[in-house]
Amino acid sequence: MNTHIDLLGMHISMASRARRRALVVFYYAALAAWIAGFCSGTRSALLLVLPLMIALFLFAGYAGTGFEGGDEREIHRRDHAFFIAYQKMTFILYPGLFIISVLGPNSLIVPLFDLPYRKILEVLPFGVVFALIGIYPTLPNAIILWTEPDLEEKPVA
Amino acid sequence: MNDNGVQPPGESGLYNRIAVLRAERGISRQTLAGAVGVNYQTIGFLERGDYGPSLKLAFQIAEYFGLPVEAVFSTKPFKPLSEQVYGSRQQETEVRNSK
Repeated sequence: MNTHIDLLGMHISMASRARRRALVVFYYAALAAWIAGFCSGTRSALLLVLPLMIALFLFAGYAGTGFEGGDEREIHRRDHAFFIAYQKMTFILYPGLFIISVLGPNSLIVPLFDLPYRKILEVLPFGVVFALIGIYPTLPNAIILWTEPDLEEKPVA
Repeated sequence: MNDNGVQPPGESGLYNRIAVLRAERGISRQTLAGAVGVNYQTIGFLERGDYGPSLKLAFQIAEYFGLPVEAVFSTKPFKPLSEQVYGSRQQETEVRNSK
């Protein structure tokens, strides 16, 4: 795993677990804010797309290259993270798909709700889909970033 | 450190002498990592006992130091090297004297 991010000429150390956890929290908070914005109105979603893009850029830029071509420990950690992530995702995916199928546009249930809730219920399936799209590919890397202990900076040769 | 002054083996449950062997030979983690083909972070994890190496890696490390694998890794705490070396010499002397 890299111990730093090189961003626009800046060398940002990511050796401490606290910083890596902060990156994970930033990404998922930005994703949650954007989904909430989308569900509440298009303007909010447009405003919140920028923090989401920045968070995604940082997350993918750092975690995406995480353990490419790693050694046996790194491969083991990555495999374990994927196993944990997709085992857990099953518990999110199935209720998510259930919500989409029940509250989808063709649902018979939506018209039964009162008007104030109806609008939320109409956009909820899209919110669930976006949440799944945002979480599914990033969860294994998020687990690695969250659990990997403090790393040592590579000494200058 | 526990009550006996022995470093607990970490998550792997394996004790090792990598840090001692590295220090006495003046080898950096990067050098050792390069020689056995792993990330330098992995050497740190091994030294702390947070990662149990594969059989292949354990043998590679032992071969690098020119020692049998049981001299580098153990499931039981190692005696200090000084005690082990001088203790065995003392035993040999005692045996010789008794003859």
